[in-house]
Amino acid sequence: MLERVLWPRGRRTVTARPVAPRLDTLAGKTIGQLWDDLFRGDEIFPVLEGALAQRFPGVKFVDYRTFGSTHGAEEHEVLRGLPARMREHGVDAVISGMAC
Amino acid sequence: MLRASAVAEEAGVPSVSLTCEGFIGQAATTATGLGLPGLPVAVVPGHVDVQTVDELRANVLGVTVEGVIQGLTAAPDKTVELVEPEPGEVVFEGTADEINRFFYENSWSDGLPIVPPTAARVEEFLRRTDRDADETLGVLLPDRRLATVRTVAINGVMAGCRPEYMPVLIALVEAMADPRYGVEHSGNTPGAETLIVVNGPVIRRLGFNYQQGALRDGFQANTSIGRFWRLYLRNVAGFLPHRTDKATFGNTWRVVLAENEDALARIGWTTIAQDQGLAAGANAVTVSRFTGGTVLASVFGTRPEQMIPYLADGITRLVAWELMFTVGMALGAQRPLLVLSPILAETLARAGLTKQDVQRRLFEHARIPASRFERYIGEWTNLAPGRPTLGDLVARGRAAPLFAESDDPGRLVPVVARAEDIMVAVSGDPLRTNAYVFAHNGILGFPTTKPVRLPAR
Amino acid sequence: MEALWVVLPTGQRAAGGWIDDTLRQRAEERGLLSRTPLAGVFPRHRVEVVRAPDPIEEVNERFEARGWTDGLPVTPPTLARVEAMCAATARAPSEVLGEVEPLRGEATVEKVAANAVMAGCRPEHFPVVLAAVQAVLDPAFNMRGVQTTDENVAPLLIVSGPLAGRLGLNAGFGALGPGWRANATIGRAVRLVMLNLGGGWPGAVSLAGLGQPGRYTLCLAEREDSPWPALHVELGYRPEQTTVTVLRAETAINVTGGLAEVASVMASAASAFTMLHEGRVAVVVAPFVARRLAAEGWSKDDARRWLHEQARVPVAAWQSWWLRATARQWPAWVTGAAATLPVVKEAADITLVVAGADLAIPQLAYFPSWGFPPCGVTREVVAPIDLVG
Repeated sequence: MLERVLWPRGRRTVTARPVAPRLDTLAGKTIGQLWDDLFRGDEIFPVLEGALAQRFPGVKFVDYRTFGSTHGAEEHEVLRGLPARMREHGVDAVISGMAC
Repeated sequence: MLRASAVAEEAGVPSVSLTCEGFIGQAATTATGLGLPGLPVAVVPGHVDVQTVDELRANVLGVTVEGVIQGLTAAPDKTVELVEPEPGEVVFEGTADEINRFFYENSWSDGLPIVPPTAARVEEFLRRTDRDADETLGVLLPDRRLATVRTVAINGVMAGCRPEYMPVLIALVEAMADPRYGVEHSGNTPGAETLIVVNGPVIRRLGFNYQQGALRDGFQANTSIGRFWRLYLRNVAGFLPHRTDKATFGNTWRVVLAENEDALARIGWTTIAQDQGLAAGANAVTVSRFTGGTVLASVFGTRPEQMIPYLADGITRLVAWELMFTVGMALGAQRPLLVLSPILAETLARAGLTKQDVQRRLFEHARIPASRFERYIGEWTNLAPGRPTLGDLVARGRAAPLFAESDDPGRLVPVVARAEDIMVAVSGDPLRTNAYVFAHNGILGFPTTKPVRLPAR
Repeated sequence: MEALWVVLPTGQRAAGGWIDDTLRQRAEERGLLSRTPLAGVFPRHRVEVVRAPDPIEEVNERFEARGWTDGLPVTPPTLARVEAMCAATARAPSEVLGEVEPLRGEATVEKVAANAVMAGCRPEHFPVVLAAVQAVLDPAFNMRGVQTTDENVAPLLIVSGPLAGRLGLNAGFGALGPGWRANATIGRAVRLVMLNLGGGWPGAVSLAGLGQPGRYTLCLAEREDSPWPALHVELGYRPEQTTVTVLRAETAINVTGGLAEVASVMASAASAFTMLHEGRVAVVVAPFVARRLAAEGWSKDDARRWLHEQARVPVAAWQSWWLRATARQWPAWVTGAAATLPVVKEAADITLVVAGADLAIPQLAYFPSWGFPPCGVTREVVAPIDLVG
């Protein structure tokens, strides 16, 4: 005898928002660095800076110390103030580390 | 730090997140959880902790730079809606054997045969509640799926429940969806398992066993409802071994524990549901997550002072790393459960003790040396980083003052914060002098009680 | 009516989305739906039950219409076959080896097994497939670049070590194909993984303008009777180990002659991308050639150094290339060179492999390279004891 059975799962409600528009190029842009004080970001950011400066004329960087640690005791304050700080320094894009 | 990237994106600033190679999968899940499945990442190869300065530099130059440029300049894929079957849609037609195989191979079953959830069987269940089939009981992590009355019915059919259990099943899922319970922790490494305690006239009405063998299989209500809980965790919360369920060992489902309310009424003790704040005689389910349990056989003695030390010792023997839910990470969130057989409860009551008196006596006796307490959460497990003493924790406001009344490491300290944190239930063979102790998983499965609402008819 | 219970081979992301939904959209946008009219039309489960008078044919029809094949017939990935394939490794079927770019479907051992079954692999081939998949998931392989570029690049799989022969890989007659099931199906399995888990659909995601035959399958083994050290030993592995090395390769250029002829072929516009991207190339050398060179006292390193010094492009020729005009960022060792330009940065960027029939004919093959970053990724082939005894 054949029976028809129903799917036992529930509907997923993942809401997906689109990310911000990308840059056309990094040349002449100001890139902010965001760091959570972990996993050797302090060594990695300078290497990235050097390589990107070589390939993209006029690219500028705003050091991660400007924004504060993104995962310390003051994480909430840092993140709350981040949009204003980015505006203040004319940041066009950010490199955020370290997800490890 | 993905949270920081999300903040930037939401402020209109494109981001790229430097992600270690081994973390890529988790980053994707976290990004989705933040509502930004398209969050770009730039891979840093290998494990940064084991690379020399030169190796790290070479890896960053060789791989990460490209990823950074891509992440900031390449248009991400348009996020496409997730396509899945409709809840309650007919998903397969076949014989009972084929249905079982299909459900098992698609990870919708626990490996035992299921009752095929046909529309007719599901309808039977839906008739036993006056709530709407599409009513949402909550959104369950980690999958963020909607828990509806309809999916409760479908999984109830599968588990082998009877239609009249439906109000209990609904109450259970309401508890599961309550944020205070913490269902999202159900797949954590220690792999604790839930215990459901049922109270009220519904015990006798639905034929729960509350006598000898209260925690044994063999009674349809206790057994199938326990199984339902795990099927729902699998199919709607989304916990699958080897994927979202990371239990080192885990445990299978426990049968439902029904209290012996006749015995409780005779001695004038409160039920678990009453202790949790419901009115006397209320139909209710209480869910809580326990890391393990053990039987205290042969509880010998005719007076409380003869019995309490052994019972309290059972509680302290079974608690160790769980002390991290008493102090430190979670303050006073540990709720061990002691189940007394009716004869033990009656013996204690005959001496004039209420349940609350018993809790107070247990609290006095369930004590361990401070040094042992500190070793459990510090030296042996590193669950409280920096090996703090109880004095340190009290000073930081991470422990109640009573844990550091002196700094003598040999001083005896309780294992819970307050007497009423030791939960006490009554069930099991009415004439055997056995008790059972369950160790508790704290905030990662906190005792949550919901009333069972029977339909108007 | 017969039924086949098949494991669906297509990619699902960590967060749960299916890559076919993105692919269907892309196919629609580019007017390519006629090739894959059932793109995205399949039950969203692990297992599908296919009932038809001829279910093998039905599975092929459905998979082809869904875009899950390379155009050749596939072996239906039934539960039984997939389970047998998974039994050839100690890894759990649910283990995730990585995400396959660009659409980032998770490469679980089971999904890789399903694609290996489709490719026609036997279980004993699976350890090689797994090692090769791990290699192409290494960021150095640049899967995203390979899948989306308009250039006609394919992964070249070179197996070196004692397991190659025991698992049926051919290093002799017709080593570059066809005729030996191991070579044919292992290479094809990797390609199906790239297609079905990464979403490298031709025209929709993969923009390779011409393609090349190596994009069906490209896998060979090195001869164990080579007069030179084996590739895996050169790379630092023990002789008793077996490895897969993956390079990004443009089409093989067959050369009959000697190193001089190979040098002349290397020093042509065929190597334009190799030079631009500082790539690592491969040269396959027939045993006849290798033995002659070895008898004259040449090591692999000597041969590499000679090719590096002799394969030189005259500056005027380089300046006349289309790629010279269109790409501005050539490496310093190219732009800074004098009258002639080397094809590779260092001799070590030439991988030498001894393979092919033992004929008295000096046959060689040159594989130019494409893409960033320099790529020669090697992984060990690990076979369970009960598979190889």
